[in-house]
Amino acid sequence: MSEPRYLYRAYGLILESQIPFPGLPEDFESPPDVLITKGIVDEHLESPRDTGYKYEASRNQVLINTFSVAKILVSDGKSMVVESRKGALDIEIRLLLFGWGMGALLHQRNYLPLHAGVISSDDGCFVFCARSGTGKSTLLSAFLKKGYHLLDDNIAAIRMENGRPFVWPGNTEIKLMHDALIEFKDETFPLIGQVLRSSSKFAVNVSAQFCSFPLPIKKIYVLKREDSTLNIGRLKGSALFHALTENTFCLQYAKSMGMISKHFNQIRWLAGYAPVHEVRFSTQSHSPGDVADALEIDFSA
Amino acid sequence: MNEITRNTIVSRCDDIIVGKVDEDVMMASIETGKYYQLNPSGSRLWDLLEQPKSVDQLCQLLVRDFKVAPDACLRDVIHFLKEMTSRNVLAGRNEHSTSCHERKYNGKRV
Repeated sequence: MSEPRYLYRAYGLILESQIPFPGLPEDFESPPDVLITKGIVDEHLESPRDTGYKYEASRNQVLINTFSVAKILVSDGKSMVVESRKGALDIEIRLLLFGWGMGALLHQRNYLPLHAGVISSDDGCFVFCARSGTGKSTLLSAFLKKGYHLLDDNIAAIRMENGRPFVWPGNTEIKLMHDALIEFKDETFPLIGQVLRSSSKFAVNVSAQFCSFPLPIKKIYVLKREDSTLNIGRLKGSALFHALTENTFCLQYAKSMGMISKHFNQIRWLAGYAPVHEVRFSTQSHSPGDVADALEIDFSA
Repeated sequence: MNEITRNTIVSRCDDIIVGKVDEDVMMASIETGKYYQLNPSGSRLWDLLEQPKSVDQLCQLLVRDFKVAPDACLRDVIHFLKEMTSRNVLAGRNEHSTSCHERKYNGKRV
């Protein structure tokens, strides 16, 4: 019996997948750009150009290899072959595919992926970059409560369109820690469930306020959680360059595939188009609502 | 390379890309995947090395541009060149020394 096939749209791509992704919008009309299949994946690439933490890379391939979840071979921006490890949960495989796997694929397709959440506002979008644990998704949930729409809560998939940087929407789920979840979930945003048994994060469906089309970037914010007063300041020059570089999603894959020149030029190009601000705040003193209120004022500044 | 003297011929390594972000000059090494920022004098020195030059020639031009004492300039230039050659951004050539290109392919990354 042949495997079922699911068709989705994410990051401007049509994905044909043997693995279901409940959080993705479906698309049955367009030919697929990317095939996600189950199969046998070798332990190593034949002639890797570089290796790093749980991966090997050649010019056009990244092999992601985790001991407990799966091996994923991402090739030419067109395919992801997955071989799951014994005992791995479907949700763990989906997280790996849509995390590191998608990071490798987007670099191969010449996107600039930032580790960021994105919300829409009228005719543009705002991008919030942050390291894991900064409170990015909690901030996004505060904006959703204010009526904004979500493009993605983890990856800002950026590509040039008509000479401007646009973000393409991805997942209709937002992942929140338990405390933030209690405040957020309701009949508009129903709880899907715990992300992982070992994790205190929960997935919530925000398709009621999901923006399904690409939007040009209005501003990029880099969130920094530290003991400070709430402060928003524009980044310039090398500080701007380093902020965008540090927040590039799966940059190590791009480097290992020999795409450093491409990334360098993408960062310079983005720095020239979109204003980038650093936001310093303390979670002790500032609630997500406080930060969202201050940012909302800055949106139109 | 081991030693940088007045007579060392300095040149850019091939696989370096350079560009400005606002007023800051940034560079990336395609070989190592590392990014660097050049200060104004480093940026001027990079510009001067469009063609290879000796350390002496570089110092003469920098003394004129930045109005610094020749001894201090020589000391700073040698310090800068040591750092940049160790990162394979610039190459220095004395008699019998190797270039950045030759060193690169003796390294682990191809």
